Amino acid sequence: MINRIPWVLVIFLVALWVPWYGSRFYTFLATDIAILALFALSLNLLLGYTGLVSFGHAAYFGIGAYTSAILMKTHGMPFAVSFPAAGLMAAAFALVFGYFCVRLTKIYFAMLTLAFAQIVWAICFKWNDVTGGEQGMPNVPYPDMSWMAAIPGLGGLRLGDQFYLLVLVLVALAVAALRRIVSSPFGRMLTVIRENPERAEFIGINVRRYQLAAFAVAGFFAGLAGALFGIFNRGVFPDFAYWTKSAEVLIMTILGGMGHFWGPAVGAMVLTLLNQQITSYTEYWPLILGSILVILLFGFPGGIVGALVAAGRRLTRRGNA
Amino acid sequence: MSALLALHDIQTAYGLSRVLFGISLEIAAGECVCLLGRNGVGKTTTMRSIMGLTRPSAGRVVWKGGDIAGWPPHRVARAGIGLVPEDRRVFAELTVWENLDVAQRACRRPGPWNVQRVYEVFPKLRELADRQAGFLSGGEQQMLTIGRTLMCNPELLLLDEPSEGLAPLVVDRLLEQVGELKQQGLTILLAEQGVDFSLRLADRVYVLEKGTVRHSGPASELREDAVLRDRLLAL
Repeated sequence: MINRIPWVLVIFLVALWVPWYGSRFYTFLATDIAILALFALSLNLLLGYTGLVSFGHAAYFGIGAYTSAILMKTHGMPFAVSFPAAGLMAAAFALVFGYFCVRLTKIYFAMLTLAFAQIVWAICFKWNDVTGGEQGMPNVPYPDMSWMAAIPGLGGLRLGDQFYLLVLVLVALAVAALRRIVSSPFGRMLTVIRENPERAEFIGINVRRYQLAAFAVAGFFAGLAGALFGIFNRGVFPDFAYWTKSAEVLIMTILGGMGHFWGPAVGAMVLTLLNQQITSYTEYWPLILGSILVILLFGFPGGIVGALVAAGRRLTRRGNA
Repeated sequence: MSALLALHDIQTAYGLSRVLFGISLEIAAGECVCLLGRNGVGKTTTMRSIMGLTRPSAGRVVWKGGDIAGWPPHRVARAGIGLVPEDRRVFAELTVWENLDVAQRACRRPGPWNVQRVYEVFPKLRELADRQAGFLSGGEQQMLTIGRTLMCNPELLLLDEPSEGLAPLVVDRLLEQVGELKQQGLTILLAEQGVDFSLRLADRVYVLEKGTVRHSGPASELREDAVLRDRLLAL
């Protein structure tokens, strides 16, 4: 019975209603979660589906954020141009960096993704004329959302609430596209490569080419998330591409469970909420985070969603017996 | 006789440990050739060398007149050589049908094989089409692995110890099925430890020992001459 409820639709509708709850804080949190969920889901295309551990996924998040911010702030381009451009630019960089990364395996692959990400960070940090250097690019403008006033009920909302609705719809579309990709024949090829790259190779799959394609697609969606985050954050800064950001998204993905499509989104939500809650009590957030990770890795290696799915199965089996 | 596949003095090593010390053999189109020998004599390594999974350090792998040594495995597969590895591992997370479908899409090599024809040779797979491959029995996995390889329309099938670890009844059925593939004109290179399975199928045999060819000749010779068989294959 639980399976019959269209959970994704229910959650989307509940999320749509957040602005009318009236709290600026909840809208802020929900926007944060939606964007990071897309970021984590894009990483899982590599981690959970293709079996590639990237330690440098923040590079593409950062490239997307800077591309969008530079186009909107410096060149006065509309959001409708800067948003897809951010994804394409991130994908283009992922294609170039990935070309070298997929030539290596396992830990060497991971280290090279990290190396490229640090190069991106260093460029953002130092290229003062374009990226604003260490100071970043504050005051990235909101997209023009005056058209929303034409939709009944949306005209009276605050700018932040309107932007949240825009984010929610764009993230939902991007996630739907990701979902299509992983369940397509292309997605099955990636699963096959993760299960056993050698076997995939001798049934005729050009493994490197598929890995590179997955890397570029993951970069594209990370770039879209970055573009949204730059606007949400009202500014773009070099630490968007810093290795701690890569670690953060990796933790979200593993926390939620990389074996399930929605795992990373759940991970993004739980980590963001926990962070908010716990930092209001203690400054030792990293200590708590570390403890959570230890418990998780030993007790629930499938992540939160993996544990829930296993528990659900146990319940139905008992119900049937 | 121009061979479909010929190995000329292949030498292969894993790191510092050398396994093949100059293997030469030939397979003509339509033949079933068997590599016989105990565990560790280099049967699997010979197959891996042909497939490009382990690159020979010396020697030539000649496929239809061209040297393919050093080609990546996916190119070898697309050239028409299909490997059924000894661990017969399927893609466990995919269904039976998806396993076959993925192989066809991977290779995109035109030819007579499609899902329906694989089901005709292995009717059991049709019943199991929607089952997750990881839950199949050993014999069913072996059928699926062979079927998956056929989806690429190979001209040469490399079968690495297909009977290993299967119950005698299952082996008998498998023998029939592989025999049927041979009837249909597929060229087969078989690696086996035991003589039962191999001598019933093979036209010619190469007996390997310590990475070299110890004996080669028609399978009938070994079938009939028990003394020779014991001398070559005694443990």
